[in-house]
Amino acid sequence: MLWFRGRHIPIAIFIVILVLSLTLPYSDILVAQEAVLKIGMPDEIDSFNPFTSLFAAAGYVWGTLYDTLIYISANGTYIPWLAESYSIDERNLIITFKLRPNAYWHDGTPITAEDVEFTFNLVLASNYSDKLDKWGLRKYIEYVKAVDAKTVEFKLKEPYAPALFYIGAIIYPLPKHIWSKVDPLTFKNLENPVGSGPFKFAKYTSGVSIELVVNDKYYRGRPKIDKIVVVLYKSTDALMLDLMAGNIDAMTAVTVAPELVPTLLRDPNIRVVELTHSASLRWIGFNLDKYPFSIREFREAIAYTVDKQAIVNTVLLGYGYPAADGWIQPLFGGWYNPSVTYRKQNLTKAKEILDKLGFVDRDGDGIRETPNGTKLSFSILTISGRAEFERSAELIAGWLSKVGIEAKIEAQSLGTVDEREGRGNFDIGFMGMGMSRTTEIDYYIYERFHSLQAPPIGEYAGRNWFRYRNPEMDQLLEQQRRTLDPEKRREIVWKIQEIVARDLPALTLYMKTSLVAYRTDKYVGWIESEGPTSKLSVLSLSLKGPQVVTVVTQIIQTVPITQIREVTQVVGGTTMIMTQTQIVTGTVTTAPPGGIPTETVVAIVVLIVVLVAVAFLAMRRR
Amino acid sequence: MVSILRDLRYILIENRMGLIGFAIIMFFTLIAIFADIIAPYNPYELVGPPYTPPNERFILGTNDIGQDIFSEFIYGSRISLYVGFTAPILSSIIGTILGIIAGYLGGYIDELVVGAVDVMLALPSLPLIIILAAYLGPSLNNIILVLAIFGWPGFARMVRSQVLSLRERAYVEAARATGAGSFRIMFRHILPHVVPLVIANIVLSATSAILTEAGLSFLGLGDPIAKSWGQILRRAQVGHALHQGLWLWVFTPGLAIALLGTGFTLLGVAIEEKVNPRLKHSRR
Amino acid sequence: MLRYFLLSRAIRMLAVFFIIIILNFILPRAMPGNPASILANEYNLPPETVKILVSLWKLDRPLHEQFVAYIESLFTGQWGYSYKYYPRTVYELVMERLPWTLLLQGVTSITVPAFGMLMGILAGWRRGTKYDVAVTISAIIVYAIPYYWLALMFQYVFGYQLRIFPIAHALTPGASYSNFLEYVADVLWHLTLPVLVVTLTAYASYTLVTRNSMVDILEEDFMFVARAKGLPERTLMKHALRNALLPPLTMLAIRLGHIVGGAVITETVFSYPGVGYLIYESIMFKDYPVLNAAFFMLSITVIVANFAADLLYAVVDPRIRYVRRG
Repeated sequence: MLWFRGRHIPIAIFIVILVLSLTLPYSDILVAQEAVLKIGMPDEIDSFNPFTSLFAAAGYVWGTLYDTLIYISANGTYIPWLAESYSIDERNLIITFKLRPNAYWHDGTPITAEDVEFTFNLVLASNYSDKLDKWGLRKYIEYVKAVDAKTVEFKLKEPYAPALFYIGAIIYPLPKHIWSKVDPLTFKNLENPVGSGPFKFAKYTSGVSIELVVNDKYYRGRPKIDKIVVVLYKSTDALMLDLMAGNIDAMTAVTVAPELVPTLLRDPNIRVVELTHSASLRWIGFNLDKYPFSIREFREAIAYTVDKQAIVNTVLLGYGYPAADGWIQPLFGGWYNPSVTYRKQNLTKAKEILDKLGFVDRDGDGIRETPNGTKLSFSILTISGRAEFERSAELIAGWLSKVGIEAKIEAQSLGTVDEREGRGNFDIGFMGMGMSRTTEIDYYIYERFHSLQAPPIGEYAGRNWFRYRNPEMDQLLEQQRRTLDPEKRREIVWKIQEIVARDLPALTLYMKTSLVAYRTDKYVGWIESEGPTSKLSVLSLSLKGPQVVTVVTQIIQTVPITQIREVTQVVGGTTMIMTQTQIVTGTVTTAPPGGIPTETVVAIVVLIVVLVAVAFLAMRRR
Repeated sequence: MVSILRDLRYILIENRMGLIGFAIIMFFTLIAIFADIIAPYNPYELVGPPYTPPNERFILGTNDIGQDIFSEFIYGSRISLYVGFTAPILSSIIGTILGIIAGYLGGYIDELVVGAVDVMLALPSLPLIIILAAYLGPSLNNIILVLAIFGWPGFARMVRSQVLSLRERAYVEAARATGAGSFRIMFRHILPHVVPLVIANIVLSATSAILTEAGLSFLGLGDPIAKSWGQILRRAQVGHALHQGLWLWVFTPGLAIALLGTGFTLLGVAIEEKVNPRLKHSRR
Repeated sequence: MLRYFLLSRAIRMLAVFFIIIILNFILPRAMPGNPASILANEYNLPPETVKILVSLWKLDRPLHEQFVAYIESLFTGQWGYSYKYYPRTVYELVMERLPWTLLLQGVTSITVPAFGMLMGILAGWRRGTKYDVAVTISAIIVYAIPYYWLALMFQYVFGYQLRIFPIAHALTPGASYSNFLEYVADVLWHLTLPVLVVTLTAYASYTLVTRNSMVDILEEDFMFVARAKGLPERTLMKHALRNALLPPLTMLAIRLGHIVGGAVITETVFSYPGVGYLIYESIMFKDYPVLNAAFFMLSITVIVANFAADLLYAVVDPRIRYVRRG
């Protein structure tokens, strides 16, 4: 039986495809009409076990499933959350939390001090402690004790400034009646996790989404949205397209690429916000155990060759700012020492320093040599696949060549970079890290600059891979941990910044601001200052409509981006204003997103013509 | 000599496919050679604001830090041609030598080579290429090396099966009878008969070499500094070119890859038709 | 003779298998970098965590102990915990994703050869006509199109601008289905774009192989005789097909072994929740347990597929036993 005779096949196939694609439903039809908030996230979930999960993405989901004793708002304020109140005694050794009387686990059991005691004892005093205590808390906390049903007490061995942060905001109290029956090291908690937060777990579809439904009995009042769907992506491209298409309402654990801001702003229903509490620091670290990076003046000369503002303008299109040399950035509010700024580019000065050090070009090839004759030729180690790093490194290499230092860019996989930096097998390493004001300041400096983290070359170093060793610094770092008086501690932290800025174990480059975008067409009540997808913001959201919007009391000044940032850039010797179309939100009259530009129409027409031509040829009798 | 010329005339002039393929390759070769003259700017220099849409000054616009995409594109032809030629040639050299030795000598050596080929073909190639590329570090030559490592088994297998039938031929027997050594027979008498087919396959596998290089660059495993078409595509993707409507930035390098690949395949098919006796009568 | 052939193939297969098991252990561990600190770097974890993870994952044990544990895990099927997704087990992760990969790759394993062979048969049957030329040339062009490039263009045009098909995923996130049919429809709707792109970029090699083998057969003497006898076209076609489809079918058998490995880029571009992306991730994060288990399975499928291809050839075409590979 020869059914495929001749001309009918192409037509038949075409019709079948056409019919199939027409009968397939559109996503909107499938979704029931309730207040469903869709949040895009560029990662998977490892588990809902707060002890073992590593992913930022999973962390976001616990934040809605579980409550911590204290919530840290974007400006760094500690808000009692699951705890009604907390107090610290005058010797700074006993911290007492009073739990909310009306707080219940998702399965209806009341949340008691015993649950908190149990959770912290897992970390502090159980068979699992050495595997669960990621924060080194056992060194500082003597015991945890449930005083009565709703009061829990922590006793410290010695004053420890970051204690409140770790106890109150990092460790999630867990229900004892569930976790006492499982192995906390291997418990996945993926099936029906029982939490304390505003949303309950509903469903997890691997690689697609996590669905959370509202907790009707939430002790802080029922949230106004009924459901959160956390949509998982593998590429931020698809995530951004879905946001632009309206398939998701907001995004988390990812930031908007600066180049997309103009495109996003063209849609009046999309708002782009610069988060006030978090940004990412980029820096180049020097191998201090290697000549000539061991010379402070040499590092300073390199600092003078770099034009931090130009990197911000070129690579970030202006969505960032030059980083202060002292590691701690203005982002941290009072912790930042305003007298520590940054070295502006000064090539003459850099050349002078190099000349003074005796690093001059003797053989006339444009590259300086050290007094013993080796060329100043180095590699900048950066992580492959991170375009922003590569581009910044390229610019730095360009400036270094202007003062007679040759720098090659070596992009390697994250594993290779980590290994080589850790073991001291590099010259200059390009690195970055996210910073948040809601995180304890100690987290960013202690391990980064403490000589305990700087073993000799060949052994793996942790965060202090520049191998910075300075007894004065070590002492200051220890001291700030023990000082609970905010004013005194601030003084020490300020001093640390001055030393870092002077010694330059690493040259901070710039802060990349965290841009996030969200849609305003379905929900109102977004709190931009906290971050549109933060817990406070999500709790205040409600469907657009006649309802009254409650405005949260604490409002910090935010920078919603309504206009494309204009930056000046030196191009080929002349300064020019980067002219991208300037569009202000709300007053746009151009084509809405999804409108098809002429080019696409042309491309589609061409495609159809070609297809028709092929079909015509195919249908002709031979 | 005359026969080679006749073959060439057939491949390049009489066979229209071969002619078109050759023309495409020559077109890109000329672009690559005269890149300095054709490209309006130095592809490494920042010549305009980032993300400029195409205009009179920048035919394809500028990239994420303000380099001229058209200039990058012109220089990119060099890398694609370089990869397209070197990787298959390298793998063909390894493959041909091993294939001839295995096919002619047989025995344990044959078992060994065939075993190695089997192992190579049973390895999941794409994940392994990713591992190797990540391990060796991103540089153009490393990528060529990786391509050669995964390319030779195909050549070895093909050459070996040719040699198996060639070694029973009368002229080989004759050479053996006159007391010629194995080495001499292999490389003086058998090799010339294998070379045409090898050349056809070099040209044919240039396409996949170009595609794989572009694919690795696209995954971020290529040399980030090199201006290859794959790199341009990756920059476009990382820089959200399509989201911004800068579709020419994505369209052009992809089209060029497809076009050059087509050129190589057309020429390769034309050569193969001529040199592979099995295919001789396939086109009238 | 067939029995001898099969026996020698089986022995070689086993040898290959063992070499692969060893390579599988060495290769990932030869890559620089420690999984724990890579994760720490990516997710901003405190240094103390690295030490905990290293001991938890037994990375501080000597290599030979790790090797023994590795061999044990392969043969007992106890693949252990993933590093990146700890405490989820490798088995769990793979089983969650495998159905999606099998669906996507299964569908394309049918559409690609079916479409490719159909075009090839038609071109070969009408060899020398304009149709033949058009099919051959278009196949050669399509063969050289970078897959991910077409995927990006399609995503943008069909997914974003025209909004006919979803941009990513295998299901509408957060959708609730009133009946099974809706679910199936949703799955198919999400499947369309990836399948379309794979089919368009991959069918070409089948077309070319089928066409050439078709032409070969049609030029054989027995076909001339059959035609001269005045047999109807339909019968002629049947004869030709029986012989001409062998090479593309063998190609299909070999390709089937590579379907999971080939899914890496597809699944990344379309955020498709399959094994391919898991493998890519496990390479990038040096997730040894996942990597080892995945490679083990991939290699087995490739070996089995190659064996099946050999078998197919040997059974159908006895000449092959001596010529091919000896």
